[in-house]
Amino acid sequence: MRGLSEFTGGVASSGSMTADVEEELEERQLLVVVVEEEEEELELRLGLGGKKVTALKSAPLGMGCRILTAKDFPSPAAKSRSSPVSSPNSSVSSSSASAVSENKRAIGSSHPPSQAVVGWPPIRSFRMNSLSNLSKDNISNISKESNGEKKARSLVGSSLFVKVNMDGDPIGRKVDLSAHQSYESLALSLELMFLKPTITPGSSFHTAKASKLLDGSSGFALTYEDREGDWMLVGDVPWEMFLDTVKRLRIMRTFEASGLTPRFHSSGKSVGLIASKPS
Amino acid sequence: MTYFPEEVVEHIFDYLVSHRDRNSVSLVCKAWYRVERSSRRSLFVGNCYSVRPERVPARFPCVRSLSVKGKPHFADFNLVPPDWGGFAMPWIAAAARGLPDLEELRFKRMVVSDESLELLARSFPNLRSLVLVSCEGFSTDGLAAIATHCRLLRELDLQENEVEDRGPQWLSCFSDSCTSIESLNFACLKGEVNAGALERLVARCPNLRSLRLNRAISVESLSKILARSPHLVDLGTGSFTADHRSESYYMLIIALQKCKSLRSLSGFWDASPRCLPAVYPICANLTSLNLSYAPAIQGADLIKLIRHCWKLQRLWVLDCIGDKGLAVVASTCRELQELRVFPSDVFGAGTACVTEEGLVAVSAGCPKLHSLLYFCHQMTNAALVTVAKNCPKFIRFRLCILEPRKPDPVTNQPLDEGFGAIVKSCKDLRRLSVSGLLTDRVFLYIGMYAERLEMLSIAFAGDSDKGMVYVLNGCKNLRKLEIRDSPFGDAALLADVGKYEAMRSLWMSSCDVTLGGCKALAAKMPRLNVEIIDERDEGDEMEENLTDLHKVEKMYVYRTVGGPRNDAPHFVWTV
Repeated sequence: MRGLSEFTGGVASSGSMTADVEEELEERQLLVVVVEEEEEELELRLGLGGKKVTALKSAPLGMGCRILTAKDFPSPAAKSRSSPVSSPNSSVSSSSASAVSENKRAIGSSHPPSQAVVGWPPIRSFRMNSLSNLSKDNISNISKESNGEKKARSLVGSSLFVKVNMDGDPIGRKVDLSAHQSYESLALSLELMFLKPTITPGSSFHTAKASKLLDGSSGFALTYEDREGDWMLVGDVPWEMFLDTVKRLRIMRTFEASGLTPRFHSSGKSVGLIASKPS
Repeated sequence: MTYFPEEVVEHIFDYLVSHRDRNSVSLVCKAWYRVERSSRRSLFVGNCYSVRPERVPARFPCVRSLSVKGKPHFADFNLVPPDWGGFAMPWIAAAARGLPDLEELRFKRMVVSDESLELLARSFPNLRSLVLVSCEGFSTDGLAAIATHCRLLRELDLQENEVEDRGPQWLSCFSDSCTSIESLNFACLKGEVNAGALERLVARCPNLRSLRLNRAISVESLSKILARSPHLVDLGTGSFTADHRSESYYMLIIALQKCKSLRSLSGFWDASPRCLPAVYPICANLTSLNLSYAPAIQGADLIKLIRHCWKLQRLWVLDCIGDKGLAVVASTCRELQELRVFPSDVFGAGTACVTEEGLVAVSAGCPKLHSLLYFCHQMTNAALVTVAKNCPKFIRFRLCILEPRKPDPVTNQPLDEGFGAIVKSCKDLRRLSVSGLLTDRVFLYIGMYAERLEMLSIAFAGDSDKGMVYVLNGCKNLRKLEIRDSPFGDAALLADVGKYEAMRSLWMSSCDVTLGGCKALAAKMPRLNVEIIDERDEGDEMEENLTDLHKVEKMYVYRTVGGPRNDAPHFVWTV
């Protein structure tokens, strides 16, 4: 019988995490990929492949978008493998249950485990989105927005529409950021809008599922213009902060995006200059 | 019966209301098959992939009302990847070609594009009713097409769809000569709506009985609309937020008082407690109340409101109502039949909002209760036993203890006995969702007692294959079985393969079923589609390691006469 002994302690027991990151995690109740102990070659994961972690770590900072996903954090089961926690991961993006991960947590732990499991609790996504929007609006100060920003960014009811343009595509689109809870979800949605994924007939496993926008493999990078008019790589700041500051999005060719570097983190983990406007 | 003229037989068949009965009579003999076929007016397709859409007009050419469901239920909880399928277009296209009498169309959990709505609107200018539930893929442009072309439309009902907002003009597309609207629900739309156009539409539709507004509608607009439609039976308020000292609020009170026919209320998107007294005068007549989207209204105010609603039959609330509030429900709402309690703070710190006490109280006070959806932080066996005794009439019993595998906090035991009591006592139980710590034993009980059970949802439960086998062997009427994160594997899957042809579908995710097991099932049962959903990255690790021992992450099995899907995305693989 699958008893309590199967459950691992969750993120808190991971030795390679720094204290302030742990705190942030506890605050934001981040989803963590915990891989069930199985034969390595039969390992199934719902998220991006864990073996790729080292490859990503070595990716040049300016290239692609270092969207933090749950896989960047070591799972207790995977402690023996490479621990990818390093500078790019110090800023945490909070995600809701829609992030792709699976977690088994100790019963009776201080963190309610329900939020760590995909699709649990079983509440329709429409309701989840509505409730999170409702509470956001009740709390957040919408009047902060200045009139000048209204054109690119419009807040209608609970929606948060921003313009999205892709280099080489004359047709701009709008995306409702409030419909997403994470960078992953947003990037996937944008890919569907702008990049038609290739479908190879007959082969079911060559998927284009991983966010090509996020790991730079598509030749494009996802960037945004913030309140101050600066262009930043998407993914550096916590999702909530991103929502507050984003004015519009641009899917940039990667060679142009290489002029952007991640923002200086308050934890001092990563260095970089605030990006200047691309030419 | 062959010596009855066919018109007589047809007339008799008109009295057959249920689909199942009509299905049965069509199997009796060729004559009955012919008569039933040409007189069938209403068709329900529970799984859009169980039959090819082109088959419908060929089989039932005179259908006037068509209802189709797409994605598996667990798609509601993000367990099914986007682009999985469930496209409405082939159905609309087939209907356009072969169902000239079509008047009513209903889609649930399907992908409906603007293009398909356009085709629908142009092909069926006499469309009377369009109902879209939990669908996606369309925008307000698609709605504009419907409004423009379907001039005899009576019902446009959009329930919890993901609709892209392309502007408010769609509502203005209802022509000035359109006076037939009886039911309009656009509560799920996120964008602005032209309030003036709405008021004019409401004013010229004298038969309007149900109107559900979205969040963008202000109290001021609501008052004006209500003034024009005092005969409303069902109202979804807009934002319902106003300064309670303002003129708008005063106008709202006046308008509401005139709505003597109101029986159902929902919406309250941004409702603040101070605005609630406006509805007190109509509460006494309410049979249905949905406050589940109003997190700002806490226990005390909910209680004040509910004390006025003594005729309530259906109540949807958030768990901030608390056990205390549920006790008030129990003492006030003696006619209650359906209760849904949703969690208000899903990711919160577990402040106990409702527990087993609230449920017990309601069961004691509301003997007519037959449908329950209850999210709580804990449940005890004792409570469930009491509930089972108090309410033997349950048809739907869905209990969700928020923490997976949580035992009875008092005894630290699994909840087998509690759920066992429910299935034993509630002989008419058709739908059951279980949660908490559960062993194989609960499935033994379910198999033994839940004779009428049609749909069972299992998550994080069971010890071994035996659990699933108990259910497959025991529940004679099982139609839908959905399982996640439970230790059922190939032995269980293959224990009774014939069973799946008697069921609509089986979903298993994060269980112990292997690729080999799926292949074996597919080989034995050619009229089942055994689909595997695998969303992993490309990479060498995948192809090399795909042995039959490979555990399948998500499997969806369903009976079909349509063969394997021809529209499956690359991550869906029919074994």
